[in-house]
Amino acid sequence: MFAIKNLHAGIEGKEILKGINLTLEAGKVHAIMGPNGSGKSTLSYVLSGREDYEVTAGTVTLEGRDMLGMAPEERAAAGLFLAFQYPIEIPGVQTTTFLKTAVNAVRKARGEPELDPVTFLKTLKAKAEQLGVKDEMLKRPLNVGFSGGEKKRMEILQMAMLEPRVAILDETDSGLDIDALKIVAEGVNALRDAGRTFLVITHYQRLLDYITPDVVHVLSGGKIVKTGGPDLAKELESTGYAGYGNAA
Amino acid sequence: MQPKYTPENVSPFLAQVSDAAPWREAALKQLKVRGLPTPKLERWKYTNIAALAQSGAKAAEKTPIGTNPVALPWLLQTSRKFVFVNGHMVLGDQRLKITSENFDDAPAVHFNDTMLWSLNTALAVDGPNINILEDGAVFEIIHLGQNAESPLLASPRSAVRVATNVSATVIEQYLPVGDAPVYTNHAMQINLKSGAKLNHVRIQFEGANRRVLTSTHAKVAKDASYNASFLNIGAGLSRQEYWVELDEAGAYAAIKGAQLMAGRQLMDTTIQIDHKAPHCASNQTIRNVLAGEAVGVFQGKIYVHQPAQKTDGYQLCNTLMLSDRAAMNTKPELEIYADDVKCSHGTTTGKLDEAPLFYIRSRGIPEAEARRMILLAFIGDLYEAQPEYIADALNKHVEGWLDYASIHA
Repeated sequence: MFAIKNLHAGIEGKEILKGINLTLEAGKVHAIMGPNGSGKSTLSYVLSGREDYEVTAGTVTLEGRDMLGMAPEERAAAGLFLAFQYPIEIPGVQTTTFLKTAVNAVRKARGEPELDPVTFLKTLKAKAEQLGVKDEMLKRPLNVGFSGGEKKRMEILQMAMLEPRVAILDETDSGLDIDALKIVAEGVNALRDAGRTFLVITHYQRLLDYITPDVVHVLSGGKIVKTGGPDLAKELESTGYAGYGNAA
Repeated sequence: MQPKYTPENVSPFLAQVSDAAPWREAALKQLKVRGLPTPKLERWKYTNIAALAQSGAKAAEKTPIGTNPVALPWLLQTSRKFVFVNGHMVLGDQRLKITSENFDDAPAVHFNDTMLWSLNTALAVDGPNINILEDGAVFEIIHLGQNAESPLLASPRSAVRVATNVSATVIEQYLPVGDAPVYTNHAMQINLKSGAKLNHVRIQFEGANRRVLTSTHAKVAKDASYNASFLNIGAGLSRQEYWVELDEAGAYAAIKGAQLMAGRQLMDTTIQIDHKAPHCASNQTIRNVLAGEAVGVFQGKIYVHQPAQKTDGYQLCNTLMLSDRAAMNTKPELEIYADDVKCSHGTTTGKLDEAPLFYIRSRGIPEAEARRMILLAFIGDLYEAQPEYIADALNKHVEGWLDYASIHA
């Protein structure tokens, strides 16, 4: 369903991804693990279309549609979602307003009618409650003054509202204590379904205790160097990345 | 080398002074020595109004309103209303007209470059002298220009006095009417008695051929507060000066506003806040957005006199450049003669930040709307404290400008 073929990309003339091949099937959770500097965050940015990264070779397709030629908002409309490692604060934009604008922009691009305000608020409240996001947070400017855990929960709430086909989680566990981690993982698990695929990018195995992956890949030096089942994550936890070379 | 003062550039206007009223004397004397400001003066370095001297502009005559005043964009139905046409007051309570007895308390003699104020004093004929005794009163002033064949100089004059412990609102709007080359040179004197509060709002959306010069001089007494908010989006050239004197302990002044410019507009906000007594506070919060080939100016000075211990002075000017061809000039200044004060100033000038833009777009929001969101947020909090009917009007103008700028950037 989501296919990355021979992806080469970099920034400011420096190649970081050196030929990534990945195929994600609907309904599956894929984990990408790797040491610092292996290209994990670059992969998430390139997939979601950040303009300062340059793709030099390869293709990325979602159900056969080319993603690389699309603007970030077009990728979102096509069904791609990135949960940021460091969510950005947007002062002056109320969280509810932001979510409504985003949901309706995506619906419009997908040829669906906009949600009426009542339905939108009802949906938002239900999903927010599931993630322990308080009403008061929804009234504040997006991410402004949120704790690390609140920001990550807000990312998952946005994901739940936008209902993507492909969800990329970039180091979602970073900066979370164990309780926050559990809430976030529960939120993600609730979104697992047969039509959706997840790409969980993480340095540590910890997150994968709560979000059990179907497939685990090891990224090192800008390439996938090993692929295996959930046990591979546990193996890495005890051996570390030493056997896989270091930074790109 | 050009001389600092060029008295000859004001002589065409001096010939048009309508009468020899005694309250014009000091102003005429200053003008005869100094003329109109030139870029040789420090505070006029970035804004050249030489075109005014060369324009051959004639002092505007009084003309009828020419439009139904009810149809003007008043913000509040129940406000007391004044209309200026080309600088003459044509609608408003006649009893409030400026007379010779109360006309002469204004000039701030310790400012050395008040020539525009003096030019107004030399030429102004009438205007409201608003004495506010009623708590909660709202006054609105609309400045209209009417079409003219040749350049005109309009000299509206107004005075606002707020009585002890009274809170009031004065809203000024400069409307685009016609396309005639009119220069407006408004002088406004504000006096706040002890414990008085004034919310002074100015919305300037004049036509592209207009030149709008405003001088606002506020004197703030014990525990009184002067809150000025402005939004400048119109006029080919505008220069607004605020001179605020915090005369007695506990006085407060805040000047918050945005200059939004595109095309070849020049906008200049120049502020001086004089802390003259202890325990006074001031806040200057300025935001600029520049598109096209616009030129922006912000000069802000906090002047702390020797007796003004425990002064709290704050100044911040943030600028967003939407175009590589635009230019912003900022000059923050502190001049401090007291030793126990807290003063801060800062300026930032930069492009629209890419990180939030990408974040917003990654949620499916198109680029143009994402930009608009960031710009609205950049300006929006300036007017948060305003009552809804004022905030709505300001935000509507901001949004209108964003639509315009997205086409003309």
